[in-house]
Amino acid sequence: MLPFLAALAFAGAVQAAAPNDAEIAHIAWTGGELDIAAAKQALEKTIDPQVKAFAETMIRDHEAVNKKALALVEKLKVTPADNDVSKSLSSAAKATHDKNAKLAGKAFEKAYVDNEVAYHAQVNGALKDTLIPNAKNAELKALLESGLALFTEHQHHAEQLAKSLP
Amino acid sequence: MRPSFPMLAWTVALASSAPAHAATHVVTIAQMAFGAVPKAVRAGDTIEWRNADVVPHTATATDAGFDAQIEPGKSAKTVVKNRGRFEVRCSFHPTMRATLVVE
Repeated sequence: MLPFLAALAFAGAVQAAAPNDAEIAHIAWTGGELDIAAAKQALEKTIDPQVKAFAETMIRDHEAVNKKALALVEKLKVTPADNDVSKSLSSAAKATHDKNAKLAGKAFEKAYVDNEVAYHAQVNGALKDTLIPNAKNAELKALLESGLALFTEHQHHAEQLAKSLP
Repeated sequence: MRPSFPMLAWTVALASSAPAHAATHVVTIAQMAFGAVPKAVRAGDTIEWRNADVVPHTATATDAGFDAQIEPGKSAKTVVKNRGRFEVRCSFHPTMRATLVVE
């Protein structure tokens, strides 16, 4: 239920007003940081080699994209601006983090991977429908498009992993 | 003059069956997919994997004798040691696959 509610809140916040490039950069960067935090929690709590490999890929990839994003905003002299979408993503991620903190073993792994499927689906939907169409700067748009290809792969990876978990 | 033709053909056939000069083939990885893998790859050839993405990838085919990590914007070369039909995968991104045929 929680991912669904979070998705609704997220969609509502995105629709409220078309975000500008400074807000888009903040949303994209926040989305990556939250997924890195979730992966770090997973690495502390799981011993499953497949789940660990997935979490390590999330850290490696989101760190690489965010490094690129920070270099780009610096080059464009854009200061990422906090906004309702970033806030809604962060509060949903905190709720998931706190809920998953109480789980262990297989229950934790299932909750983490299921949330990764839902989270990437949500972020990809936002990239496709809102962030990419509204991005004004061509380089920002190109980075978001690379992000969409990458996070779509992450979503499929998480879906495969979810199926393989008992 | 005519007898020299079969002779010439035979020489050419011999030359092409001798260990050929090893070639280098380029495969570009972009948007989370392996680009077209060349058809005429022979054992001993080199494949240069170019990573145009912003994240690291690997080109892994242990049966074919290679496993290389390719950093974003960089390339890595692998030598194809064995003949056969191989599945090349990225060990970080399980949906990335390509088929490599080595003659």
